[in-house]
Amino acid sequence: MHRVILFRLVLFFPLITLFVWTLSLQYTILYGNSVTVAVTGYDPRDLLSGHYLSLTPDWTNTDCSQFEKNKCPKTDFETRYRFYISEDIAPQLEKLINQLRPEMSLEFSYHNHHPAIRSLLIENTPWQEWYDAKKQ
Amino acid sequence: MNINSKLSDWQKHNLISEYQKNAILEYENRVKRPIFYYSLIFLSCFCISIGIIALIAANWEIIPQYIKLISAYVLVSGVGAGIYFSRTSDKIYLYEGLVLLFALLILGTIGLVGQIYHLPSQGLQAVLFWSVLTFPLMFITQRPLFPALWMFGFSLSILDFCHQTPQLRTVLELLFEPHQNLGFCVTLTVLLFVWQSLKLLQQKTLLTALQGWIIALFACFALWLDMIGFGWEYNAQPLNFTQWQIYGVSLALFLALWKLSSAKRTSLAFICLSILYGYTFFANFLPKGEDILSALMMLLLLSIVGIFAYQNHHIRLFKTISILLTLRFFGIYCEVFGSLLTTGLGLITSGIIFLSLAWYGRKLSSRFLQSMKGNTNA
Repeated sequence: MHRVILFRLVLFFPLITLFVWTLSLQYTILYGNSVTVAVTGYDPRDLLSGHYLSLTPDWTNTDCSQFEKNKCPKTDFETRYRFYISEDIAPQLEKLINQLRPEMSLEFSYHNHHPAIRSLLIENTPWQEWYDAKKQ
Repeated sequence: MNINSKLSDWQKHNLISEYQKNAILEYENRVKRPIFYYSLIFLSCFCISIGIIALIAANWEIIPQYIKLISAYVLVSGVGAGIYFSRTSDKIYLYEGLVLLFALLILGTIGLVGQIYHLPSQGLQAVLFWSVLTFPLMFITQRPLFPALWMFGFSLSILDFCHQTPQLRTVLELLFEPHQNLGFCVTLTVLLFVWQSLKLLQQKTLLTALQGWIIALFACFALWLDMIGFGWEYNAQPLNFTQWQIYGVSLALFLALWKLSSAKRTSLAFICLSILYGYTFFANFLPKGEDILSALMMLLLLSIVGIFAYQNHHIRLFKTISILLTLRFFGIYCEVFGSLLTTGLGLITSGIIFLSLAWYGRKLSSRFLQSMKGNTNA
């Protein structure tokens, strides 16, 4: 009997923890305040790292009035973010960004000092729309 | 030589009779595994699974994120159910395979969540998270494969975590700089402590995996220290006061553990670690003699393991250790390589040592076989 309980606990523990973790991320995305933080390439010469754009917050160009007390909570944010871009688009997008040097920002959902990325904005439009427009 | 000709040869030398030869052949034919059949099955499973992964990857962008997440959870739950229902089955490899797959799928799900929610990656934190989630699985495995994999992942990720955390990085620097040997002594002592503590839980698979991990780490550490002696990286500076304090505390813990342990196999681990402690101590006072000290350390370690192998009738280990000892002696000769005179003298000395080792090894092997024969007759 004890062995059966042990088995169930062992198998449910990772599943439940993963599920709660995913729910908490989804909750932050859904119910957090929307804030936009300007970003630049973590390594401007080499923006792409695998399938990810490697980005770093640019606090000098970020509007801090969207946060409490008009102060940017820099310590709540990471110094480096990765944004997933699919394999077939990533190299072209990197090329366009390097050519046009557009303003980029990450839209976060900010809840209880926890920021979660919602989307990547290029020149204040979602990156996919910007990419489709520039590609033509 | 195939089994048929081998058996004919044994029969020719009157080692086995015609009847025994036929009985062995019949047995071997009966238990022969259909390798071709299994190879084809493995190949087809491999092709199908890679094909499915490729199909999913090709359509990755058009699959909605919630479908990806639900599929991942369904897959993990399905494999979890498989583990639960196969726990009483005799198919041990299937069960162990499912446990391994479950653990890998958890890592895959962490990666998937990280990708969907654009989580920043910080070193090996995902692997550390995986280690925490899959730690309880070690208590339900019956083979040491998964625990060994877990220990490897955990060790790497915790090392990375310490390296990324400023306070813990200072501790790492204190342990491993300028000498790595202090860090190695402390790491191995802590692992021995964990090993002794785990004995209380009576988890055989866990203990076997940890034992293998300690042996592998010890071999790597000893080889690394010997390489430093070989001049690959020479970094000899005396330990400071804090490092001596760490050395003292670690040594005290090590001696206490040694006193508490009684098993013969454990004693070998303690004797080997005491050599490492001794090397750390003397290398500090004789930085210029590091070459000879590390060579001595390696020779001592190999000799002790060789004696252990001989006493416990591990003939393969004994032979391997003999070869390694010979190679290390040759290494010493390479280290003192200089003028024609020293080259000549070194070569003659090495040759004499190799001859002595070959003669002594042969003598020990025959004595060893005789003792085994005696044991079988008894």
